[in-house]
Amino acid sequence: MNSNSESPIYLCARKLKSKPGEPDRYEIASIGIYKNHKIVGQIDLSPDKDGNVKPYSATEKSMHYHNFSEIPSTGQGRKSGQKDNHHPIPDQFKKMVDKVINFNKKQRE
Amino acid sequence: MKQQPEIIIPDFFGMGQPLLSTQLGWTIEQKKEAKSSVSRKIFDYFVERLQRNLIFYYVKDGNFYGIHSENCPTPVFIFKKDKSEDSTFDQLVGDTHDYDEGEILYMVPCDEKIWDVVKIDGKSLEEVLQDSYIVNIS
Repeated sequence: MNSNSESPIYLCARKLKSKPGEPDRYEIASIGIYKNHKIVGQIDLSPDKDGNVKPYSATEKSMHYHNFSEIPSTGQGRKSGQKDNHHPIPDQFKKMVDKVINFNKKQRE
Repeated sequence: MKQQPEIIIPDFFGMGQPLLSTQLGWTIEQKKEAKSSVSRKIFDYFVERLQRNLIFYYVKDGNFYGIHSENCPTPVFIFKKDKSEDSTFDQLVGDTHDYDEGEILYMVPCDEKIWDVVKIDGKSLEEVLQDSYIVNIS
């Protein structure tokens, strides 16, 4: 898949702290899901300080999925703080999420 | 004769791994990427323009500071340290998105420059960053 695909998935990573001389390490924290050139959803892994990720829970910090939609005032996106826009990870992305979690674990080894 | 770098904090990164004077301030790589050696311009490039989060350790007061630039208003805060860790570097846990667990000093409004607003112990960021170890830009 290249960046000109109409329905790509983007992995968004942040750089982890490292000591001088150590190689850079990255942790994927969120995943953007596009369809027909529009972002339609986002997976937030919400890792804790040690990189651990919890399965979806409606009541505590855990990985979750946000739906994105057309908002007249701002365009395609989502409103922050919408409690009813936290969903379990859709089944079709679960294998990918497992691979991402494994990648993140290796970064911290 | 080449002068040896001064040890600023012994065992900062762990036993026998000191923080050296040559490790303070922006690194050569950061200056190259920002295409400037002027502190304000480097900060502007990474933090204001690219909205990358910044963590630095200010040697004058021994605190880790975080700027969570991906948010607006932008939290500027002191990290809570994990005192159970031996080395100072390992006492930094979490990332800038954990700002609400630290001591928030500023919430810089979206239409203001962090560089202009933030003062630490009455000092400008230019003065502070030259006496700081830049831990992470992410």
